Amino acid sequence: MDYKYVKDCWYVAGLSHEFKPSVLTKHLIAEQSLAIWRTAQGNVVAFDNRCCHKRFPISEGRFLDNGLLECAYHGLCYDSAGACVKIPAHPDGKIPPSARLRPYPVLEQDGLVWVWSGNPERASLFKPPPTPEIADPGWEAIDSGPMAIPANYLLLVENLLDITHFYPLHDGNIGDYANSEIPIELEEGEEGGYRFVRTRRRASNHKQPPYFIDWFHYEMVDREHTHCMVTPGLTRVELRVAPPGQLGTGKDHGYTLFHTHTPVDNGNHIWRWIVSCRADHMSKGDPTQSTAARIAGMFPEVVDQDRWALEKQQHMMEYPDNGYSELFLRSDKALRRARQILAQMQHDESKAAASRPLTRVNAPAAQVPAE
Amino acid sequence: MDTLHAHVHAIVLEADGIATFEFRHAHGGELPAFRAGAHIDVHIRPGCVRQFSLCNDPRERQRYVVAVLREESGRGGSKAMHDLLRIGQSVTLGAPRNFFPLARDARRHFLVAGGIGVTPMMAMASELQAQEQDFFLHYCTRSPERTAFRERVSGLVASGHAAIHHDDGDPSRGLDLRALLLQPEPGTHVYYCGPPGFMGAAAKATAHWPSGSVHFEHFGAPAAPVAAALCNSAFRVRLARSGVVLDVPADKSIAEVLKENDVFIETSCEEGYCGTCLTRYTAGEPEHRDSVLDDDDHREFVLVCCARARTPTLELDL
Repeated sequence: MDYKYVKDCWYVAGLSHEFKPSVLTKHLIAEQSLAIWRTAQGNVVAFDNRCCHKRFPISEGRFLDNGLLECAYHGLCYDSAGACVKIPAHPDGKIPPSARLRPYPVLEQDGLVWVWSGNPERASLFKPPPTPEIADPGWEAIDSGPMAIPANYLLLVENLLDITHFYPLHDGNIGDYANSEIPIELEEGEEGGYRFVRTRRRASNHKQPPYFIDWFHYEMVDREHTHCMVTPGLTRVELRVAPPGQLGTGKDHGYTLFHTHTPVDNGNHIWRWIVSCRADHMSKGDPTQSTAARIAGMFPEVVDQDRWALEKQQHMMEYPDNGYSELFLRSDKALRRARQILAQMQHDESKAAASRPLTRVNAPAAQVPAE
Repeated sequence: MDTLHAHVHAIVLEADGIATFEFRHAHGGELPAFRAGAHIDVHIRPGCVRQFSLCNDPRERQRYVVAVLREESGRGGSKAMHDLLRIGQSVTLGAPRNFFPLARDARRHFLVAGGIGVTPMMAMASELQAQEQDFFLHYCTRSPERTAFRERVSGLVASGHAAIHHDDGDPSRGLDLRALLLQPEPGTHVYYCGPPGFMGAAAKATAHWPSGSVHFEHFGAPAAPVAAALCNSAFRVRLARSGVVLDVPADKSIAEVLKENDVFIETSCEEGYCGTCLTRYTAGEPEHRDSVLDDDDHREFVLVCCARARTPTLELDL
């Protein structure tokens, strides 16, 4: 397995609230430097971060009073469609037709801003997945902000699909040996052009570990826990608990936990978690705190442990295999399927790329209309 | 494919024109495990990679031993082995791969070797002896001077596990394979390996044996990895999502056929233990040949690098 990222994919550049009108943000996604901002009209736009003139990062520029973006080097000015409309060195007003920023397909949906990092012609084959719990006012969503992880994003995807590592890696917080013993059902399907893989763990009359009681009250529960690699850029985790026999009867507690994993390059990615709970659910351990806030308070420690493991794992990738092959355990089926799905996507995109001439950076590229 | 760094630990002249080369890990310690029938790639010199069957006991984890007949009229690989490799020299090896494994459910193993084709049989004899399985080796060579592993085979002869046949260069005076293999015995698996004439005769002599009970490997095959040379029967795979139907011939794996038809599937070990090619099937019955999935998994998944089919068509969720 080559630990390479899928390029033809929608990846999360940030949450909607991270993009304020007329504030430039700079992003490294799939080895490309992007400038992303929200226009005065309210839509989010994304462009290659290189000024078409001298590669100067336009994210270093500023917005003029007339709403144009001015490059900080030679003062080329761009409108919100990326077209250069003013060149100080051309006082005659002549603008070469190729004077434009290369746009990236971008979509804002359910509280997330998604950017298509690959071949723009294939963007319409895929749809960013829905994440309704982030935008729904009936839910409280708390996010981690961007976290730079020095590891290939596949290592995080595997980590997220695999809760048999909770003990011992997360011993002391969410570590729960019993997790490793719940049988795993594996589901697969296709949604929005993406193949997904999902594990489902059902437990009846399950004694909750103390931290779950703090979050979700009940001691004995029926529980359903799913982990789904929705796309190469998003993993969705859902946990629902209710007193035995009462799942789905309105007594459910639980969370929806989104993890976004956006590759920077083959050895780095940006991880974000967004935890959503019903807005009116409060913690049992500290009734002044919402369940979402209580959970969010515990996550940084858990994330640090995962980051520690991912970094170490990535480091070991640097040694030649010399006949080494990872041992395959029964609990790894979802991980193998995820790898296979990612590898197939890479194959598809390289096939599509082979049949397509290289687009010049400043040639107009197809853009998915913003919603 | 994974490679490893080794050095030549010993070279022993076994018989006229035949030498064994013992490789050990460059940094000491254990080498990747193998099962009888496996071969390794030896990077003899730049641009010259050859496959050789391992002939030592698979329980020996410190060394790989291959036996090489110097072939004057060959493509140069065997000559280069004899002429270029020296004790102490570093050499790059491919990790062992096995297209000629012992059947797991056999009651009896019948090994038939022609000349240098005895090399995988030596590892098989060790493995079968260690497992106290019922086996017999027929070893056909030209003359005692051209017989490798004489000492080891003599031991097998003494214990009633082998017979040596010399033809002095005249095949008509050699072992009569047709007579030997006339009567298929239920539960007995036949394995053969040898020079082209021998392979042809053995193929004819085993043509009436039940499918799945005859196994063979050609040596001196092209430098490209040898296709799975188990004696398999052909079947078809249907790809559930595209409706495409592909023929899987006896000498190719499902994964190979998929790749040839531009249906992408990631593979790694190609021997059914790493789980990389885990694929869901939707109809038909696979003949599972992996070593990692349990019965529940087998009802849903198949490792397409090694599995065959029990039904004429196997439908995959691809």
